[in-house]
Amino acid sequence: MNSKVILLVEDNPDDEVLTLHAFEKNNIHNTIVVARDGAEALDYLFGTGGYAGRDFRDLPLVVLLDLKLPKIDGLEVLRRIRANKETRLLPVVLLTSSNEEEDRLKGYMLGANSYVRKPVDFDEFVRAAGQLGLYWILLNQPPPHCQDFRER
Amino acid sequence: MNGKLVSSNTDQQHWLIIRQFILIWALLTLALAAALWSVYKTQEKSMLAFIRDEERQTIKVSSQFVGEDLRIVHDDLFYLRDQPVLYDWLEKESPQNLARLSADLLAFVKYRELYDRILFLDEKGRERVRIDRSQGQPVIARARELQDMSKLYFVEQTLALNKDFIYISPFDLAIEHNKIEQPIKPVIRFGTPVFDQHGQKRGIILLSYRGQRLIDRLRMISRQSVGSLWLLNAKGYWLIGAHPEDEWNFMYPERNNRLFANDYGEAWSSIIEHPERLQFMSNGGDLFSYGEILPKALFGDIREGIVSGDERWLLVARVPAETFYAKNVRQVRILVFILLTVLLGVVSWFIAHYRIRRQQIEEERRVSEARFRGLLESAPDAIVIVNGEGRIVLVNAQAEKWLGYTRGELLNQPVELLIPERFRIHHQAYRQAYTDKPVVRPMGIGLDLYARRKDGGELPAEINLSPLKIGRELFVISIIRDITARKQSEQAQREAQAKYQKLVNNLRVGVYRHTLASGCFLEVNPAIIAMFEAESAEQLQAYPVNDLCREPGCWQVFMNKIRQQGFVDNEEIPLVTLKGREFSASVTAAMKQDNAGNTYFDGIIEDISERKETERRIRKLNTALRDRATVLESVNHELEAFSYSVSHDLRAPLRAVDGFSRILLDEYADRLDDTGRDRLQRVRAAAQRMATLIDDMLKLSRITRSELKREDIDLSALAGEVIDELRKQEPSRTVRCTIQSGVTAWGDARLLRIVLDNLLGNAWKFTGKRSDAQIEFGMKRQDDDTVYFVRDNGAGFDMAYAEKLFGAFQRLHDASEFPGTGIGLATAQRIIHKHGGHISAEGEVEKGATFYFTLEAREDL
Repeated sequence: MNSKVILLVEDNPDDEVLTLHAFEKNNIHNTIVVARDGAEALDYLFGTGGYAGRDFRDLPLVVLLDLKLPKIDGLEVLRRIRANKETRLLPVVLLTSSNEEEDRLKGYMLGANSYVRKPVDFDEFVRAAGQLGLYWILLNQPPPHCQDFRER
Repeated sequence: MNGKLVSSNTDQQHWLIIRQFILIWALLTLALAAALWSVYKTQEKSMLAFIRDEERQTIKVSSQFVGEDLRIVHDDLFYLRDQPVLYDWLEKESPQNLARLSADLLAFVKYRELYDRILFLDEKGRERVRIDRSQGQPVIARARELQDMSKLYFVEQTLALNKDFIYISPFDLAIEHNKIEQPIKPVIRFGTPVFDQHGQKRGIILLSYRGQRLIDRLRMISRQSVGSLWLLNAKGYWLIGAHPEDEWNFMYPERNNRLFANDYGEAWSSIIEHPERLQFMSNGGDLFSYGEILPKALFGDIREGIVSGDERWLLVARVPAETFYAKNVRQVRILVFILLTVLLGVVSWFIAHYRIRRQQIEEERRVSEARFRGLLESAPDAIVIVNGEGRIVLVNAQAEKWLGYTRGELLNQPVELLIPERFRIHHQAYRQAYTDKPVVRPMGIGLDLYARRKDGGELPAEINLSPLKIGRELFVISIIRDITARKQSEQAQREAQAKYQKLVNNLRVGVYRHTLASGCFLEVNPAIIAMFEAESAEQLQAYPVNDLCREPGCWQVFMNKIRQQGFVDNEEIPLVTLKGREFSASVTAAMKQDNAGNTYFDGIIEDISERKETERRIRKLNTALRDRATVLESVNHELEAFSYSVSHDLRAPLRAVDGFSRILLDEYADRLDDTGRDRLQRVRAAAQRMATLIDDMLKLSRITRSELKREDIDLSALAGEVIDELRKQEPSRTVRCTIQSGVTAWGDARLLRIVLDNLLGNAWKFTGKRSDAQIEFGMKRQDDDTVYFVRDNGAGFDMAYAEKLFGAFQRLHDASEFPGTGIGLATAQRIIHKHGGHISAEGEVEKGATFYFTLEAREDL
């Protein structure tokens, strides 16, 4: 459909496969960049580390961020995204197994745009992924600078 | 006493004095008036008597004077008649004889000043010799001046007389040539016939008595007397009157109607009708004194030989009423009265003042006496006053009460009556000794004194003696105090002391008293003796306390601390017994001062060796406990971390299991037979079930961790919401729900919602197989507690398993029949417990179940 990138931050390979499968089932064909820990996700976004030289201004359409991550956990990743001038408006959806109120609260306080719990029931998961993609890729209008960059 | 009271008192006193003064003054003034009146009356009376006397005297004197003066006239008349010269001339009327007669008569008139004229008339009434007094000098009338006087009434009268008869004319005025001679010349004519030696009447001799002389004399007397002396003739004409115009009125035709009787009719009547009374007091108060002069009586008892022109003359003295009540006298009297009244006023004032003062002093004395009496009678002590002879002269009520005698029985009795018999013998000597040296002092110092009562009983007493000197007599005041109570309290104190001594001796802790002065224990109890392993109290008391301390100077430090703080509680000091056994002691001491100001320390010593050992063990246990608590805390942390990771990490594999099973079913279905597909379905179901279990478990653990946010909650409304949701989920079911309205609670709304979710949810679930499903929510009071309940008529349960109901993951029903994780009631119980309440259930298989729960009441209610 188009080449808009979705950044999926997920350390669990099973979940990665299932997520990608769910997107596929829902006919979401965007490029899915998978970061397997918080540090990698940040490197990708800021063009550092393994992604050095990447144009950091080329931001993904949405970041699907798990909370429990090796190295740098999801909430810290979110904090850094919001702390950076370039990425502070970037849509971030927390996609997690946790249903802890505290996590939800912290996530929203740090500026998460959405909080979605991964259901165990795969059918529900597929439905959720479909709705997520539908909403963030097709329905949601990204912040202006992203649009500018896309048009250019 | 404040100033106001004083002034009001003084005012009152002034009023009293003024009232007294007015009373006394009025009385005295009345008395004075009466006295003065009586004095004045007496005075008037005596004055009246005096004046009466005086006036009577005046009349008498006047009358006498007139009589005496006129008596000479009789002698003169007869002397002149009988003288030889006259006879000579009568014998021979020669010029010589006439000359001799004339000379004789001239000499007579000259020296006898009584007469104005002497006449010798012959028997035919012709003047033969006449001597006149002209300007005081007697003159012999010449022959040619001689007149014929035969027609004159007095000549006629005299010529008609016999020998030795005397004619006295009326008292009137001399008339010359038929006219009243001027100036008037009052005159009384005396005449007698003259006979010669042959007895032949030859003529008459006439003597004209100088009336003026009489009048002058009477006037003189009048002047010297109180009243005015008047002379009246028989008809009541004034001869001597108050005014010249009143006099001789009978001589003047124009005024001869003016008479004494006109002016003083009453007096005139009295004079005429009662000549003997001599005095008359008119109604007007005029005093008239009167007396008559009878011309016929003038010359003694020759009354028959006298012919008188006037029947009588009246002497009247009038004292006008004004004399007695003279105006100035009245004024003087009034003045005297006023002066005396004023004087009495002053006297009255002094009397009143004195009386009031005396009354006041009397009153004060009375009050003071009453106060003394009151003081005496109300004294809490018995008071007996004894005179010098040792006899009782006064007792008070308390004495009567205590001693059992009445006042009458005690008065004038020897004081020994009140002394117990065994002391009586000495008492008199003591009494004598006291009289010799009377001072205020207690009686029988150092002795137990007793007063003997009437019934023979004895009263333990404390007696104080005070001398009281009245005049020369020495009285002794004995103040007797009943000390029965004190004796009893002393006894009680002794008993209490013994009791406490016993208590101290029985105490299992060491009790001591210590002074710095000796450095040893002053007092010890048996426990402390045993503690220090001493043989006796004396041994321990002789042992310096310093040497009982294991560390040198330790006791000194302890003492300093007490002196700073006043006390020390439970100071731990290592001590050693007399036999050298070491032990730890807890020492308590309080600093005290005795009455003499000496400092001492009271305290207790406790052997705490055993207690210290116990404490050491407890401390060890405590340390272990703390360690365990720390471990528990970290375990808790781990648990939290565990449950957190469970929620993530346990779910991820389940999702993988379910997800890949699904993918297999979707994408590889053609390569699986029905059995394979069924097995994969079971894998998926198990995974999902486990996910639910995990969620419920997390929920349960969250409840345990979460904090309560209590508020007032309308449980009825909450239950209503739950039922509504249940109905929405299964609209096909017909359940009769009864929710009691107004059920409120105080708790965490979110958590109580979970409870109701679970209980009502269960009720809903377990009535699922009944067509007449009923669910009831309500509240009841039970023993002051509010008990909420949820009742249903569903599947119920066997009470044998009631205990298992609230365990986590415990289920009493087949999951295929009634699905569920078995965590709901455990969650509800945990919430109820968190609210300080409890939850229980009643039920019977197929008959339904009732769940009861309570909540902790609101604290502030």
